[in-house]
Amino acid sequence: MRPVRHSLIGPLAVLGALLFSPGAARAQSCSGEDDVSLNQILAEVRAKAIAELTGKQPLETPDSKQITAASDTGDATSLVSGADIPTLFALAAERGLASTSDGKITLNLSPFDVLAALDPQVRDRQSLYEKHALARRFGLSATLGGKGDSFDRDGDGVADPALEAVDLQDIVAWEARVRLSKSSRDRRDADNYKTFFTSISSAFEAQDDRFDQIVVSITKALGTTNPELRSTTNPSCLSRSELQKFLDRPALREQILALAQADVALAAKAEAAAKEVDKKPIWTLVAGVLSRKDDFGPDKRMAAIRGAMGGQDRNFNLNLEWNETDNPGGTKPTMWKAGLEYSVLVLKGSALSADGIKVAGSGAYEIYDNVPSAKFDTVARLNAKLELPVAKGVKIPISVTWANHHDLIEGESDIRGHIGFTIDLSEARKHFLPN
Amino acid sequence: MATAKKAVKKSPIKAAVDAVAAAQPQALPTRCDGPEIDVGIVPLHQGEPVNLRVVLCESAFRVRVHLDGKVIFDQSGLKDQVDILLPPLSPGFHSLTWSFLAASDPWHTRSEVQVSDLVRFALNKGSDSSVPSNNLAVILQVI
Repeated sequence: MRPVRHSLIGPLAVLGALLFSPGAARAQSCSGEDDVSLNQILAEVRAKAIAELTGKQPLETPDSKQITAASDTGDATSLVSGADIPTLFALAAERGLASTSDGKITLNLSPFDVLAALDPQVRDRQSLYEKHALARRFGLSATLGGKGDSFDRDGDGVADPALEAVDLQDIVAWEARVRLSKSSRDRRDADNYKTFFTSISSAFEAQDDRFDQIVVSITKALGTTNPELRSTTNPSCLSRSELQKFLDRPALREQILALAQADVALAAKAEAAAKEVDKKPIWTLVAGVLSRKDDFGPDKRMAAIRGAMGGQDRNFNLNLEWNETDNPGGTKPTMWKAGLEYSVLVLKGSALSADGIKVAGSGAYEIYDNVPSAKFDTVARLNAKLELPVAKGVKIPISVTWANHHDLIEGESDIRGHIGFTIDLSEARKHFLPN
Repeated sequence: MATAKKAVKKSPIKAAVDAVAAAQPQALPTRCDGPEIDVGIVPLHQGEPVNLRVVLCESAFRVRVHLDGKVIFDQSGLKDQVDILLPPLSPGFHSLTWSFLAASDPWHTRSEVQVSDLVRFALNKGSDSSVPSNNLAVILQVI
């Protein structure tokens, strides 16, 4: 009986196909139940195979439902309904240019983000995104609101409580940023995506070839030995039960397992390639102005150069900062800060520590000129840290700090002169002496 | 006895904060959205032109296409959209697979198989996939 039934499937399918062709207007997706597409069934078997391989729960099949177009629900803010200030802020928020936190509003006025708000294609189309690479090097923001300083407002010699901003212009903090380095860590930038594609090229090809092999096997079987793979109810789809039987054959199982292995290898390669991009040096110039009405405290200005390079294995950060506060009728308090931090992961993969031992050094130098709250005119600190692994997940942190004034040494358990030491055995004690 | 309630007027900053907090960022449809037709087999008449269109959103991509087990297209650094016109197909079943690799997250794609300029297969994919590459496939049946 069975071969006879199968022999009818071919001509019926061709008849169905002819009836359907070129019926694009009538075409519908396979249901995913009895009738499946190749993409539906392969996503399922693949997720199971990856789960078997990695011991992780299968991830849900990527949702490929159509994203509903944002319709005009009437809730959207409209300029016509009244162009008052809150409405303008809401419009900016709808376009991703305004956010709120702790009772403050931050307006993102960065050139690229404003461009993207006016024309979303700038973010959507890679060609336009690359065209505006220069705009992405500049950032500008304004934060409105917040709390002022506590100071003597009425001249009675006692500090009055800090006031909360009421009007939009009571407290305004402006910040401008310029990325000095042409290189970025944005994977949409040409240099970065070229590096990314090159590093994972062979892993991608291996995965792609394995996927194709499975589809070629199904296609060949459908046209020769296994016409029953086609759904009898919908000739544009495949039969879930027949296809599942076919994919359960040892040869196909092997191909699916090989694809899952290629998936895992590609994911690992992609992660490593992304980490390489994240090591690129970034130099940024930052300038800020805090503008306040008299009742909220004096105006302040700052400028800084920040540098970061390296990744998890080797990391370097530098910060040079200048701050100045207005002081009508007096000398302006000024502060300079320089900070440097370097960390390196050593002996990674060794018998001593598979994860490696983190060694870090940092230094800071600060100058305070006419700053009433500053205890010293200069502050200098040097610190070295090491985390020694003694068991899995158990580390003994060792730290040494030097400072130019002994009372600047904080966080060390033993202080002798200008030097403080710490050997923290608490974690190790908990591990080795649980009671 | 009616009690007249005096409306408490919000401060300008509070009114603005509330307006921003209540506003929802708008998700506008992109070129990578559209109705889907995820079928397993696309029947067509011999001689009809078949075009594979992959619309690429929010990233640079590498796209690789196999027809009957052979690579017929492979290019990286692709932007916006790519159209691959398939060579003439003989009667019978043909496997068509294509894979795309995005350089960054998030990303979206829309794949269409067009037969004589009519969309016969369409599927949207996004960066919520479990692997950083997406492989899609369809069987072409030339009659």
